Amino acid sequence: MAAQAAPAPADDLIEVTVDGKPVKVPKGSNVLQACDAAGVDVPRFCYHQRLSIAGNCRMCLVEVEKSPKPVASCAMPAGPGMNIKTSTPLVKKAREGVMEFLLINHPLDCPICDQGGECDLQDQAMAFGSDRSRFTEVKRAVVDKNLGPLVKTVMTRCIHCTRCVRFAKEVAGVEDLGMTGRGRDSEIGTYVERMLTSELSANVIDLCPVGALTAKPSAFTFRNWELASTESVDVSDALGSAIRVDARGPEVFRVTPRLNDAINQEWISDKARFQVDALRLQRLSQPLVRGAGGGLEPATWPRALAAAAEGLARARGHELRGVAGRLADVESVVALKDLLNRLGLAGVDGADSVLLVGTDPRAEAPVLNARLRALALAGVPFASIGAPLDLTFPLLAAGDVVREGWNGFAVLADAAGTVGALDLGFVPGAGARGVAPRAVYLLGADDYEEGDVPADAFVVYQGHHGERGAARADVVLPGAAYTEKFGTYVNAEGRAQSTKAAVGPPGAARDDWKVLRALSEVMGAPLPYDTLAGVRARLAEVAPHLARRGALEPPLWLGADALGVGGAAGKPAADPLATRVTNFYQTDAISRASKTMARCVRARQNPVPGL
Amino acid sequence: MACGGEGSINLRAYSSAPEKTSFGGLEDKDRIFTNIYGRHDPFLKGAEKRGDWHRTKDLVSKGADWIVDQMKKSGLRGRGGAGFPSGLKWCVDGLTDWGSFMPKVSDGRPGYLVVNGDESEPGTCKDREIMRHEPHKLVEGCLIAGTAMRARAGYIYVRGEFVAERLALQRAIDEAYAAGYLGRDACGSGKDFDLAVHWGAGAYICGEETALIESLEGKQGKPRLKPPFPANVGLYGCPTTVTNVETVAVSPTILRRGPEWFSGMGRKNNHGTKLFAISGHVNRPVTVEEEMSIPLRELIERHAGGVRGGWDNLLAVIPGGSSVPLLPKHACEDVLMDFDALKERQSGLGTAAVIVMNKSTDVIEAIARLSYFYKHESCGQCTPCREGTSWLYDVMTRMKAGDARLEEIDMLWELTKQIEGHTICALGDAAAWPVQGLIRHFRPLMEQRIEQAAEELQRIAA
Amino acid sequence: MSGVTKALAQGLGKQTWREAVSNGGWKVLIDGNLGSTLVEHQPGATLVGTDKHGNRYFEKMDTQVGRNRWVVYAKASDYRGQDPANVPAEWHGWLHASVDVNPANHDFTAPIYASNIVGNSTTTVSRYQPKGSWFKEHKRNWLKYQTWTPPKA
Repeated sequence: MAAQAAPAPADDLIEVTVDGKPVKVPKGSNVLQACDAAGVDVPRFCYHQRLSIAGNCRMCLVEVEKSPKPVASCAMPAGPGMNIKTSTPLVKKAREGVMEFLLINHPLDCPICDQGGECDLQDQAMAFGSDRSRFTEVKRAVVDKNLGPLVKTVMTRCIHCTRCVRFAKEVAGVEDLGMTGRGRDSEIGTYVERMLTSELSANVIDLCPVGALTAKPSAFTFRNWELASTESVDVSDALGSAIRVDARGPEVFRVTPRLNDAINQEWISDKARFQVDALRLQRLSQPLVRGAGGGLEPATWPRALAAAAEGLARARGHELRGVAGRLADVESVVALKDLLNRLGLAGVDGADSVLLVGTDPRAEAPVLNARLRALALAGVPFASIGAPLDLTFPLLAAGDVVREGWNGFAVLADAAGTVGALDLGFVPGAGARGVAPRAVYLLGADDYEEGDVPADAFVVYQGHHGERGAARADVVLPGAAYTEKFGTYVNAEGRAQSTKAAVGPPGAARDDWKVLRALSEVMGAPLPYDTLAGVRARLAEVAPHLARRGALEPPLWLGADALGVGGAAGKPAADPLATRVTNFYQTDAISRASKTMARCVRARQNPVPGL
Repeated sequence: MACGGEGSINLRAYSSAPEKTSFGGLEDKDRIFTNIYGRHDPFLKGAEKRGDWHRTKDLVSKGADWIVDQMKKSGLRGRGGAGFPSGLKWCVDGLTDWGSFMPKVSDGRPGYLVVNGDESEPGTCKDREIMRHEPHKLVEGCLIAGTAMRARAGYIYVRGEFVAERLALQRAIDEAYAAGYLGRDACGSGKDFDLAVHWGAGAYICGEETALIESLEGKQGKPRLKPPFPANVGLYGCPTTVTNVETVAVSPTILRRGPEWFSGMGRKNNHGTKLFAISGHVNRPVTVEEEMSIPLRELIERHAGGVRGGWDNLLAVIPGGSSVPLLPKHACEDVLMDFDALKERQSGLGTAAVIVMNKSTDVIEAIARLSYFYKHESCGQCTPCREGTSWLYDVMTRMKAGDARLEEIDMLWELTKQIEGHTICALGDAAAWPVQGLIRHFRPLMEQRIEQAAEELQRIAA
Repeated sequence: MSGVTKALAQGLGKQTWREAVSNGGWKVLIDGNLGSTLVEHQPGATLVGTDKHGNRYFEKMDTQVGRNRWVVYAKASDYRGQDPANVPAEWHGWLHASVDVNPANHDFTAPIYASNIVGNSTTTVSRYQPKGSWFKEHKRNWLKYQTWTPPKA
């Protein structure tokens, strides 16, 4: 991961004047960045700091002294002593002119446009445009393109800023998008009708400064000013991308990326963005207890907790086993661990093993893949051990990369809960091996090994989505999903980050650590904390680094001891090393419940509908 | 010697002859292109007979600095339209603080010469005559220019529609290779120089230098942002100079006959001879080589057989290809055909393609047709040109029929001002200027057209 | 007879007044529309036809264009009965001079997409109810999530 850009040393700074105000900017900055540094707002459409410079919207025209014409500030390097003026009549006229040109072929359908309210064109037309148009001719109309199940296009609204084209080419690494035709007839599109075959494709929705590319799954379901935003962390993969969860009332409508230079820059994967429709589907909203007829029946909390306590009490010592799932937050894992320890248990089983090699970052953490791609294009060699991959950048043979003194042992975990659970020492104790459990506590674990849960075992499932685990369980205790609780997750690099509750859990569901706390009370071994702060204090005791939010920590469990216990000393597997994630779109209980993700899977099987 | 001179380059200092006051009437002995009409063999044998490839080795061996110095002394200005002094442009480290000319000390990247044979400007037909009838002048010029710029290889980008020209050029290059004039140790001078012909698909915008480079690289022909200039980052990211065909083709003759001969013709700062392509309402449309600064009237009457219906039947002249503003008759009476004189009259020499319109022309419709051309050829990359050219065309179409309001003339004027200077390349300017010229000189006609149409409408309604 | 009605009767003529009262009753005095329809236009008009709702259609070609054809609603005495939505399509065309064919003497074939004209149901029980309205028969599910149903044992 690239570190935060260090502040440039003083001799690499140049001084320019923006509107009479001197400002120092690093060498190599352009005029637009200098204006930004001076706090002067320069309107822009095509310029984006993470994409190459196109300079084609011409909105950022400013006046530079000694230049006869207004210059496009995004494309003009700032020179020492440059005198930049952004509020002269010349600039005002140029902006009004360009804005008028942009609007002549832009439909005035803001009231029915999903971008309305957060549209760059709308805002800048208000701020920098003229108050009326002189255009009386016929407007242009463009046929909409089918870009797959995620991106909805209204190409008549396109202003040809080519941000999407540059994103697809430079960041996502797929050359699916391009511009065809010329002059007024130019159109953005895939050259033949096909979906965007990138796991990052939906970022073009955020990039599009107008409503030409909008979200297809949530089209026409909300206006953005109705949404309340919560800054949270994504759990769809182990990268822990920074996200903003937008909700209206009890419903999560949208997830958008948040700026975090250390982790995801400003991209998120399609899964992180669009699996949220599953937060409304297949929810566990009330406790369920297996009745006399053999089916799960709704129950009250006291009855369900009593049934769970009774079942768990039957197991003694190592016969009790806890399995934490892919989406388990650290708070609930520590509560489970404490509970099991209080019930006299020495060790518990980690849910997911760790992938050392045989990983496919494109499927497991596409945003990470985009950043690896940037490194690869910068000349850093990459290799893969395992099944052949298409990572959108060239790979070398492993022997060329692994050299003497090579310092590249990094682990890419494939689920959000994995690293946190391992950091807490949620690994099987030596005594647990070879003992068949009589009672199993599944903490959101749907991907457990069949052998971990024997047919005769009593199973308690605590989670938020009804799936394999809940169907197997004897008692189901409804928990909260990641948008409904304050949970700590540790990402693959060891960064502890917190999700925040954007909405409440549905129905009778409760925070996971609270459920475990209640269960401990019923079982007669009450846990010593009653508040979230209490749980976190306990967390800090068990694993002090988890209290340091956002900081990069070396993974504790990669020490030799942990590996010895974790079972890495086993024999080499006979199967070729391959990623465990075979289907990027459906990896956990949430994404498997999502209709959008299911549509993506179907679309991926046939990316060119005409063929 | 360094070719940068003492900072400011004073071209006037090089013209030693007493100042001339009358121009035109170029004698045959002073013509550079002696086979411009294709009456003789255009290929190697005929070309050598006309003096091409005569002791080219000596010219090349004198080195880049000498060539650039000679070009500077000759006062040659680029023949592609902008009229930039060629000596300066070819000079590899001239004005490096601008960063706009090729670095003298190579950083390991090869340099390229690109010859712009994408002659698509409406009315212009001078480069094609060179390419099909005098290809060896161009090929030899490439070697000379390539030497001056320290370029390793040259590309001639020919317009897609020019099939015969492309074939003639290719044959000339093949002949030159066979004769040892090109390739390794070109002309025995010890310098390696390769030359290749490339052709486009017929887009006007590919005549813009950066779009031409993009097209040459195999991409969509869309102009690049400047800076960085092609001299710094050009073809395949290497220093590149893009030059017009005529500029390159005249250079061997200038070197052979000396810069004083060349600068002895034309007004100061506008020296030499020039190919003028005269078309439109003249009795004999012609492409002719004439001295710079020849009066427009003399040019038309001496070489093109005069305006159809006599000089008094003249309405307007577009003096430099479609992208310069037109001149009405009163301005045509005494204007000299050179860069500075036409600029004074708010027009330009451009490519020196003189389009003559007599009084049978509907000048509004003529300009509307030009607007259609620019609308069609706009690449669609940047906003003012993409949206503006089509809007211009729409309004011009209505103006043609008078289906407009009087205040829309002012709007049209403002529109052209909104396009001009706000685009990535000069196509926006080129689209705006003809309309500006029309409004500047023929506004009463436009108003009359609109009023007539309004009256007609009222008559029908009544 | 009060003074007002006497004055009206003198101004308009006995015949007109009688017709007006027989059609609309005393409400003629309150309802200006009804009054103007009955009192101003009725005299001398020809009854062209009656539609299935009982609305009567009149014509008086020597009056001002645009006012020479009109309808007197069947339930004219009730302001809710004065409902242009009750006018069938063929009579609508005749009223607005789109067609000159008298629908009463003409057999119109209704297009297949034509719905039965029932008039404006505003203020009645059968009025439109938005989704989620309490009065709607089909009750909307306001639950914003869908609960998982466990598989049958």
